[in-house]
Amino acid sequence: MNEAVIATEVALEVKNSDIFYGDFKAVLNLSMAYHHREITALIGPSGCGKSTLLRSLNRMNDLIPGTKITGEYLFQGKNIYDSDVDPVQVRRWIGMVFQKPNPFPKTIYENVAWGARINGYQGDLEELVVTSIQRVALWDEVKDKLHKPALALSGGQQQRLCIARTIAVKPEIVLMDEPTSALDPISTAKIEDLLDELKKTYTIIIVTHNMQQAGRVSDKAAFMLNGVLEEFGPTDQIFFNPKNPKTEAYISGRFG
Amino acid sequence: MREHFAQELESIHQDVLRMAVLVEENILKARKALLEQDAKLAKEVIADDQKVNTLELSITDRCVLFIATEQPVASDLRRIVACLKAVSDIERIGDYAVHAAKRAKELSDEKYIKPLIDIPKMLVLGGEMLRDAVNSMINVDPSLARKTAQRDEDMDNLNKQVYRELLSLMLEDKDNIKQATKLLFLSRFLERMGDHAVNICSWTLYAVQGEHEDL
Repeated sequence: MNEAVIATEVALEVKNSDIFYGDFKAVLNLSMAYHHREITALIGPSGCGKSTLLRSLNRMNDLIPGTKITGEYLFQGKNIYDSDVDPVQVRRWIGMVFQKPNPFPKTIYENVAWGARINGYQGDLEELVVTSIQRVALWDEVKDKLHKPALALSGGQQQRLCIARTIAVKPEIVLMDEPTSALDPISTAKIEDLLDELKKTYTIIIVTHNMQQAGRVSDKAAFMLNGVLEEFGPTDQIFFNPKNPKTEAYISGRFG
Repeated sequence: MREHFAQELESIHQDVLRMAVLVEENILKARKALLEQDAKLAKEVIADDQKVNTLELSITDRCVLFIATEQPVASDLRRIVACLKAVSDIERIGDYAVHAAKRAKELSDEKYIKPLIDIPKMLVLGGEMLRDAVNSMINVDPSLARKTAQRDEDMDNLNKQVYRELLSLMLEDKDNIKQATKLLFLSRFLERMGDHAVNICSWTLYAVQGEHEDL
């Protein structure tokens, strides 16, 4: 994609989407746009549909039997659910980082090189691995043990490694499903600093249960309840002066 | 949910109310001390101001701790910030009661150059404005806040009236100048009570609306 895209341009847009698991409607008639180089936080109580929505953004829900998704998911003007779109390609454009760090049981180096290699990366693989690890601020901690098992790293280091693995395939958008919920406060702070850095290049959509984190890291926040997008707006407004009383009740901990 | 959160917020508001009641009592005592030229009562007001100052600091500490530990957002956050701002206004109003008490002490053995009429009225008005402003904040009542703020005009008019009278007394007889100057300063201080009450009303509206409104 063109490097010169302006920050306000839409990176991904969902239009009138319902998401079903069998007969259960998990997301109802949702429309929203995610903008380039912005961090959007999806918040809401457990079961509100935010993780379902997140997984629909790169067709991860295709892997769950009985899932039905309607509406449009427009990425670069194309519906990613069109029959001629390869879901594997979608997941290259739109990467995902999970709640629990899940490095492959391989070396640190191989974890980052893996995606690029199976995609037939033509450039300097070594350089790609190094820059990806540097970009997630992990380099100083692992530079002397690149060929040691990734699983020997701490949880926070593993999560940064997973982010490095995700960005090594050069996605446009990075989805994050509660990326710090399994981490201690120091590792969490490192990931949050990293988000600030990554948003210079990527569009980030993050699901979080941590209200303070949503307030700290995101540019926009979306509050979902029972599958409905109740309120979506600038984070400052959502946390300081939400328009919807349900949003206010949730973010101030009165329910959820 | 968040019982402790709600209780603590309520308890901080109760402290703000307690502080305002203390200041209002001091204002009325200062008025009495002026009217009855009661130096002993005036000293009491001056000493009581220490309690007001202590309360201001303890409420400030509680608000800061509340923000640090409970991380309030949205209207809860706005209400706690409004409390933080309002206590400094209440404290200033308390200082003006002390000014009145100090003048009462100084003038307790002097004959007044005129019967005090408007200055005691200003003290009553200041006390009422303070009470209503703080009530509007605690009861989240924007219409009371706006109504209270409008009364500042009465306060300004009383101040002008005092100025006119004292000016003519000074023109009549230069021996009046010394006492008249003291009373003029006092009137000016009391007029400021109204402004601080208006500030509290503005913070009420800020807490309710999430934006600043000119009053």
